[in-house]
Amino acid sequence: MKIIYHCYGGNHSSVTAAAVHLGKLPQNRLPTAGELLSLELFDKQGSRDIGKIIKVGTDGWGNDVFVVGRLSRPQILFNMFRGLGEQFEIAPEDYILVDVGMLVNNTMRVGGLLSRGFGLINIGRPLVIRGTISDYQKICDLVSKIKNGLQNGRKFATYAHYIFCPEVSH
Amino acid sequence: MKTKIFYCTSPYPLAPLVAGVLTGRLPSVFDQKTFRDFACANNFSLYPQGKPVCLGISPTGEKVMAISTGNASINPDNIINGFLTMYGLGSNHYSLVKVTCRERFWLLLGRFMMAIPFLNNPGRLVIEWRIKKIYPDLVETLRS
Repeated sequence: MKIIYHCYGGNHSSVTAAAVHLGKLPQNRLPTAGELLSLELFDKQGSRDIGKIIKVGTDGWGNDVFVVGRLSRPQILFNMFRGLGEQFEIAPEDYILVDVGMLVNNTMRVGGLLSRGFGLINIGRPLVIRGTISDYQKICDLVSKIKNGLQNGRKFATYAHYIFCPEVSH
Repeated sequence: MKTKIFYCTSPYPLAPLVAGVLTGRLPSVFDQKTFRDFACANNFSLYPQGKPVCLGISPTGEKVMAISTGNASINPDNIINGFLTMYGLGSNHYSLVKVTCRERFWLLLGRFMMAIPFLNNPGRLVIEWRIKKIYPDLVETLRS
């Protein structure tokens, strides 16, 4: 099974979610700025990397975890995956697309734009870290639902080509 | 069978046009009636962005597909390569051809006009006018 976390730029929320999934970030407490910055892909990718499906690791159940940036067009990603899967005989049960972009708050948006869009890393990065920490629990909840679903053998196929995000308790 | 995938990021789906020329569904010289029939048959006015469309077999025996992502600069080549590489499919299974777009402004204008009911037909004419102009370049993509 491939688990693909996606967000606008594939820089912050999806990378954080993938790190939580792989146990690189704690689920029982908020991470520190240093822990976030120690992630290999956190706030690192540029506009040329949009669309690159990057493997982050393999979880305890042997599922491969990926991150990808898809700008504000998740539907394109779903259509491509679904269509290419049909053409190349790849079953939709083989992958899960998890939209983390809807958990992004305005602080992360502004910080991400400054850091990645305008190259103002000194101003943007602290903002994006603050935003990530403030909504970290929501990301953890989302990842927990995915992991619980995988453990319980829940079928994700019906959601695979839609904006998939299980209910997150706020 | 190897698959040839045409992709573009133009406001109007140009990749299916090039793929149509390769598979013989469209002539190599612009013909208005054939173009209109082809556009209607493939639902170009409501084209699902990013959805791969299979347009048949090329004369060299390759399966021909086309992907158009609308006006989004989402790097479709990255997604296609990433997705297929994830499942162990490499360059011996598929090849990618980028269809470049020069008339972005006019095609975008035509699309906007087509979205407004009473400007639908003028919008269609604007698109046909520009497609006719760039058609030789699109056909040239197959030769390069």
